[in-house]
Amino acid sequence: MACWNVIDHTELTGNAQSYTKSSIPDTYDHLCLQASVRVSNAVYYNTCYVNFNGDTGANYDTKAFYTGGASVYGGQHTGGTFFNYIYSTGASATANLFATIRLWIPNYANTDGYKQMICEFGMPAPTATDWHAINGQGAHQWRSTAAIDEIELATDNALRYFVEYSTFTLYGINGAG
Amino acid sequence: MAIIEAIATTYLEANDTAVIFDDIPSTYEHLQVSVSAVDTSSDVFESVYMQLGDSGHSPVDTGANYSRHYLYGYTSSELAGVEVAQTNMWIGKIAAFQNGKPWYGTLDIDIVDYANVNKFTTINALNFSGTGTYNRWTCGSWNDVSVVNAIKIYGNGSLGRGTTITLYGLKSS
Repeated sequence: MACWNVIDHTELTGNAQSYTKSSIPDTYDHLCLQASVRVSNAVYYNTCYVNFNGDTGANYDTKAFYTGGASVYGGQHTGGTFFNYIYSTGASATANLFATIRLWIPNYANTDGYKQMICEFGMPAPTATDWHAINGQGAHQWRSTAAIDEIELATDNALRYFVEYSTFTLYGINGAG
Repeated sequence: MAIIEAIATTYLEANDTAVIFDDIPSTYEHLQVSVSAVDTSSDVFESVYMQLGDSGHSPVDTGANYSRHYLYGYTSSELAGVEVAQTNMWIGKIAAFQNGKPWYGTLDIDIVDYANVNKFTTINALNFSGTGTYNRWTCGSWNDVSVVNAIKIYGNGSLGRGTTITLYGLKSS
């Protein structure tokens, strides 16, 4: 049995406000979403949100650290209605520059405990101006014992879009046995 | 069919200046590089770098076409930095032989959507020096839309014997 399996791969051929994968089977041990994205908003970096199972309740906790230059910052958002402190490249950034976002979701199908997610994001830039680039990591918790069967990675506004050539690859990962 | 395939592994039985993977096929979606390495210099730990190339380079681009942006912890401090128009991506620090300890540094590097000709190639690297004092998260960019077909990893000194570097390819179907 393969250890890593592709659940879905999507490359955008036009704008989309979000990437959503529904009906995720509960047959894997862990999930990993690897995204390469750029947002249409005219900023250097743009906030993204993650949501599980369409839950819009105040069930999302986030703690993150990140940098936009020579200083390190920390942030948290407790009891949010989505995960944040996740960032993409925006339209003011140098052309052809896309951010990477990787989400690790271990033990996503268990129904005994809350779910955790680790996010790693990186957006370098060919200019040294503060906040033209951003990178960091976040630890996230969804206060639900439901198995995760849907993941949404979205921009922070219905009028801001992931642009053409943005890609999303969702992997299901098996353990031994 | 396996989704992750090991494309190549290099194990250094003697010190060498660099490890190079060339003629990388473009048939994967993403690449990953796993590094367990030591430097031969006389310091406690030393910097390690990465360059990328396409078929037009020999084998990698040595021009000032790289950006690197990082945050790291060093002893009890947290620090960050950004450097542009560089000739490489500074991806971390690894232990050095001459510290007298059997320590190796580790790196887990993602090279995302490396064959997409509409994007600069962006990498992420998670690094631990192996000396207990330095860990780092780096994102870097090769400011070129070419398909990556070569990777070079090298240190300030040489890479020491016992260094092991494996290149993996991740498929999308």
